[in-house]
Amino acid sequence: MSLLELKGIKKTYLLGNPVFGKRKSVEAIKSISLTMEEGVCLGLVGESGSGKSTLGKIILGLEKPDQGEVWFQGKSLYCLKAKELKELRRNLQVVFQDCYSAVNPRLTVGEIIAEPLRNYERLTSVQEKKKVQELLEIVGLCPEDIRKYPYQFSGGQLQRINIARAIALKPKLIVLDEAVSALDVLVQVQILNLLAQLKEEFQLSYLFISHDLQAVNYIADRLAVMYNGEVVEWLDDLEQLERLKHPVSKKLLSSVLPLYPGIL
Amino acid sequence: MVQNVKRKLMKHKLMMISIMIISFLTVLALFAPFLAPNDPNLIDIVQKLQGPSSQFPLGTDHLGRCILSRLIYGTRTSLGIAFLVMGLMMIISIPLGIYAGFIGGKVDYLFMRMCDILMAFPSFLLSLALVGILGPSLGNLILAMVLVQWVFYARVIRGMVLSVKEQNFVLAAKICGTPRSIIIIKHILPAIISQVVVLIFMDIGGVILAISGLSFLGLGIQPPDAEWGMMINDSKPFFRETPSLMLYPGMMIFIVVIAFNLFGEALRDALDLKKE
Repeated sequence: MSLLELKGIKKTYLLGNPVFGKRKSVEAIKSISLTMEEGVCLGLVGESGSGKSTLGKIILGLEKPDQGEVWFQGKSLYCLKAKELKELRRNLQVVFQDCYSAVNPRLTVGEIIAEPLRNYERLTSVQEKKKVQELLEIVGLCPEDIRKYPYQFSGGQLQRINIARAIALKPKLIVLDEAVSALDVLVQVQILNLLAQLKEEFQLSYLFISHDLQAVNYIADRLAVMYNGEVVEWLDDLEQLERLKHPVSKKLLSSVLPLYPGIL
Repeated sequence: MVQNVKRKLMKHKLMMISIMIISFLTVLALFAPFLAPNDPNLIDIVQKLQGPSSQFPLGTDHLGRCILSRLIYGTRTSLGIAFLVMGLMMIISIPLGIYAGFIGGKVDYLFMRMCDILMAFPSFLLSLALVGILGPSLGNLILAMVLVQWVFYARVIRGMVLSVKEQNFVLAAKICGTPRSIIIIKHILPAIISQVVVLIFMDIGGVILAISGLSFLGLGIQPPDAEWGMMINDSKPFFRETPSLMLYPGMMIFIVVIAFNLFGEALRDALDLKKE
């Protein structure tokens, strides 16, 4: 049984007034089927507007697809009762691109990271504090940071906090929606290293959504290229990026800046 | 954060003045029976339309009642009713605005069109008509104002909720398995509450004006109770001989409305996170 299976997903957004008049429709996802095994990092690349974030939302259970099924751990995500869905959600987490808006500015770091714990595990406040401090250490922050507020952190640190919240329940799958795109290159590498290390440590699987082939190459095991709501190309061996054939893949590949332009 | 807000409040001189006026009026309203020199409703025709004296510091009206005492008691009615009306409107519009904004969907759409229809009527005239139908009394005045104006606030609050709901931290909370009710209490309400408080203070002046307006027309507070709008109405026939009769309550309305408007505006600046 694979961890995640998408069967013929289709999603169309309707624009405009829901009662009067004709509504325009935008096909965000035309037809996508894919399977993901446990412990794998699947890279999903594509230009902006190619539907990759929509796909991420569908997998997270936030947007119901018009057609098709999402099977997660052998259960169909959109055919569950609220209680079962909540149990399933435990194994499904997210890290967003914009680390600033992903945390409530009015809560302390301790409260932010404890939020998933409070929903699923009945811990005493002492246990909870200990757990949050452990998580902070795992992602490379100080346990003392527990009392600080989000505005006291840099972008990279905030993304670490977001990661700590995502791994708090030891989920099976984490959707990384452009998780490093907003950070500067040095911090990107740090975060990617952290993600790779966590993947080993907790046997996580990632769906790494990005437009940056270089970052995907760094962490992903498999690669899917999306264009206009469809997966246009698959690559199972990321050592051979040059094998990408589709024009969109080539375009994305050529957009990767060489490390030392002019020298190599 | 609290320190910062405090410092900003001090920076505004107008803000300080408006706070002083508002606290002074609050004291007047709370301790009216101790502060008023005379019984505001005691009629003494012999003393009518007198100028300032030691017994009546601001003179008397056409029925010989002490103007200062009536002004002080009028503060009580105006402020009390204004805050009561505002509170009732918030009790209705905060839950409904949050429901429409957060749950959304077709219910939200129909709800908002209903708001559009209600807002198509000039609100003051609509309250006027409502009081007219229900009969002039204090309770009906409050009812009419709340029924007509809550839509406006529900709409504004819905808009605030819509903008907060799209933020990633709300999505992240959903994915964390946080139930809707907790998301509303923990993430949505704290994010909008400061804006709502500003809204209340910016609009309370308008509510006071509307109450005075309706009372001026004889549809609100009933005699003999004192209210500024009604006092202006009472003094109409004597405007030429004793203009001060109309001037005092007019000045009170003017000062209160300006103080609340300034306070609301300064509060908005002070609570604005973006300007930091």
